[in-house]
Amino acid sequence: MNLRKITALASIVILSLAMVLTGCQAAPSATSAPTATTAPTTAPTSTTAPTPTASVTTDPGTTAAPTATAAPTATTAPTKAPTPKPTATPVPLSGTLISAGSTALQPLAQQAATEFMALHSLVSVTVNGGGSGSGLSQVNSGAIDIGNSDVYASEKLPADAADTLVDHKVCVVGFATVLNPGVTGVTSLTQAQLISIFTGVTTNWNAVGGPDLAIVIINRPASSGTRFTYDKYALNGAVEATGIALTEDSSGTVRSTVASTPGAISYLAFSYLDATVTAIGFNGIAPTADNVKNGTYKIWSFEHMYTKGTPSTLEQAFLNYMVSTTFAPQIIALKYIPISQMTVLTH
Amino acid sequence: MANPPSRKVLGRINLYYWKHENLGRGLVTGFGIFLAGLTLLMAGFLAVKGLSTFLVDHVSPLEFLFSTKWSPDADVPAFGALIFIVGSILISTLALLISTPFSISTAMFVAEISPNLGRKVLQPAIEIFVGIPSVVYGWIGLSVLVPFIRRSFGGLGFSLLAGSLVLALMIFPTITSLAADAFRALPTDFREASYALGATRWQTVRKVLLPAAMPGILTGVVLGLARAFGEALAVQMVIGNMIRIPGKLTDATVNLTSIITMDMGNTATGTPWNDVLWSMALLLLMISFLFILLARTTGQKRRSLK
Amino acid sequence: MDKVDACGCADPVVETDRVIVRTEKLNLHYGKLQALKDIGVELPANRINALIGPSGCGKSTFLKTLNRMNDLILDCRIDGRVYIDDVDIYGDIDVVDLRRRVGMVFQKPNPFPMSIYDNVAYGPRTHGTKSKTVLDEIVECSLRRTALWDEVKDRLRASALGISGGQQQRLCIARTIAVDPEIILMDEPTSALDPQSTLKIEDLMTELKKSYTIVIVTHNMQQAARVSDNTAFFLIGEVVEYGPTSRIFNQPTEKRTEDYISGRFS
Repeated sequence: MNLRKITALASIVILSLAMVLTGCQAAPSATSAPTATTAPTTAPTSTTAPTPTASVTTDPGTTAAPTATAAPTATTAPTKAPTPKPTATPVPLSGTLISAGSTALQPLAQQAATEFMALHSLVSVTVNGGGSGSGLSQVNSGAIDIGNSDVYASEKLPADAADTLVDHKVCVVGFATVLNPGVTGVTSLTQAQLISIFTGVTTNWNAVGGPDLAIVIINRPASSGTRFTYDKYALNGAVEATGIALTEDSSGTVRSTVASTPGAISYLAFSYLDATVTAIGFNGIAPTADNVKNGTYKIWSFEHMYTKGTPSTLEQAFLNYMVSTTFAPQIIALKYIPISQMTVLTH
Repeated sequence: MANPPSRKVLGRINLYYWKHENLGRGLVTGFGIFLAGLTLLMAGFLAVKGLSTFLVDHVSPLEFLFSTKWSPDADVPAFGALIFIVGSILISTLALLISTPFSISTAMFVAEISPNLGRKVLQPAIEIFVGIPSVVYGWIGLSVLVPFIRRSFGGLGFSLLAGSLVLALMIFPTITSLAADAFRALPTDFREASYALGATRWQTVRKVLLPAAMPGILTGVVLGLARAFGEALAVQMVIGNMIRIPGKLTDATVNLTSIITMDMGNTATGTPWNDVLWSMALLLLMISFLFILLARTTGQKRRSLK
Repeated sequence: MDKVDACGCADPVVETDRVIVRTEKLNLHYGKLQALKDIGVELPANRINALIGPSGCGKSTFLKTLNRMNDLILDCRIDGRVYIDDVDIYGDIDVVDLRRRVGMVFQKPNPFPMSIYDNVAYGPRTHGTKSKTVLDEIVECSLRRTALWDEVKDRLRASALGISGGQQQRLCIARTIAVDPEIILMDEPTSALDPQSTLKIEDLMTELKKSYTIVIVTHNMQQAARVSDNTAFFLIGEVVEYGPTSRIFNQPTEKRTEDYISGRFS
């Protein structure tokens, strides 16, 4: 009897431990097994545009796209398009997609997922947040199918890991410098002025044409994609001074903190701008979508969706949908910019 | 093993007891062991992740613990976590200093001065405090406390003071209920003996009951401190997360939990930056483990005194 | 008593039959339950007065009316008069002062979880004595009078919870006499103690009655017969019979008393 008890106990324990262990890796990636082997063959030429042209397929969304399905000024896309030129097979798409990562991209990806699932009843797409770094780590480890990121994978992952991921740029997001509404008289700042402010040299608004008021810097965490982009394009890579800036975890709290803190300066994606904060220009150019498109306003970046190796048929279909003309109005509505509308694709 | 029927007795009876004793016990033990195993597994996981900072990335533990230089994104990164450690200690200690007098007074009131009002009104109110999600504390702190501090004491409002006050409010119910329990657990004898000597109620509470309840109160304080150390969201919302050691109460600062939550999602697994965050989590685990150990020893002292 | 004289706090032994406690038509209700009915007794000073009776007869309740410990119980209503030294203690008096004058020793030894010294000094401190020399004197004197001094004088700062049960009870008595009461109420003070400790307490009581009036509730007939001068027999909230112990035990006038003493009730 004792022996039986012990075995019963042991099996419970072993079972539960096994559950935990498998749970750790139970990345339910049903269909997503990357078809290609490790991808470096396909992805070495850095900015590989998603090449949506190639795969006008079963997707009714993309078929009805008259205007700009063409990969926008696609760098050198045609050279390598070994991705199976897909066949007009009537086999309906099915399976499960899990994407996670950037919270900036999350609302847009969620919207796309909802619409995509409406078109393909057998498909389930899940979109999670977690942050760019976590999205990239998870797609790299195979836990998820698509990793959403505000920045290039090489900024977050070790080079060898980044090389195994394939970049799909899905849209452009612009960032604006924002001020507390109490800072009057400042409608634009130059790069030099911004560097001076964010490195802690200029500490009063009267030095840049504003009122006599102390400048309060509100930052995102050093690991934030927004901060990375802003540092790179607005501050030209200058190192922000630490110990003088407040740090807020999310764009939402940045906005409310800027709105309520006299003399505050920070930066937000266009999608977060509203009347509670004052968005100002950069080098005299106003932060508008049009200025980003025509290349005059420089503070913007691509939003990326990464796959491990060459995307599967399902992944590719979803990625195509993200950049389709059908979805473009949603991108615009959520204040992102469709890549197809960019006339200049470099900073 | 106090099985009444001996093993040689009829199989039927044994089976009966087996069902009614051993099966239940096995099930309960199984769940217990499962949970204990899970805890160990988590601790082990945290240890492996946290130690790789030192073992794989070769960051010096001394640098981690005692350097204030934190520049994880620099070309030559530096991973000194002292600012965060000091921040955590300052905020928690201050919260404790603010909260403890209120907690003990409330516990005295609830348990001794007005047990009726205490049971019917105050105790439920305190329990509601426990149930409020920390984001609500943070949000109230952000929208009421921060502007108030900015207007009254200057500075940005986001401050050590704001964090400590929010935290004090959050740990108040923990300390209060444990302290009230400690008072209630005291034998009536103490009260009777004191009253019979002509002591007033306040003298009784102050001179006899408070010292007698002290071990239990200390347990509450330690658990409150543990909670204070581990609380992330609410504090992060109001301390400003400025990476420096604060010079005064109204200065913004940062702590361990804030830097972990802010950077964890944005850094990739396996990078030194990410590993250091795990090391901080490991440090938090060790600190809370230490506190729980402390709480247990004070509790034991109380038992041995009885 | 000689040793006690040396520390200067022995009271002169007065052999009088002065009545110190007198009750008139004392009734006590717990809510609707009547616990005491028309109690009218007179307790002489410097005597050991034993209260006997079966469980729930009201003797402990009566004891607690004498220092108003029943005040702490909700729903407790008291009518009638209790005079101590001809002052109605349910009249316009200070309860705190009353309890200083009427000390109490409980069934279970209940020293405070503090040092032996602090236990004894607790009462005097509570009533405003601050001087260290005065306190030292009171502590030593009280401990001597309870024959505890020699046993604990080397560990006055040690926890009172570390001494034996019998010692703890004597410490509680020392703590009580440290505030110099007139009356000491004892609620079954030896029921939790071994025979030897019981004997010590009984000896102590005989010693203490020279200075104090003692009212003791006891379940132990032998104890009542051994130590008390007067005995009151309680039954269902009433005093059936009251008088000198020898008479109550040998020639009770009431049948009920006789039945109880000969063991038919308990």
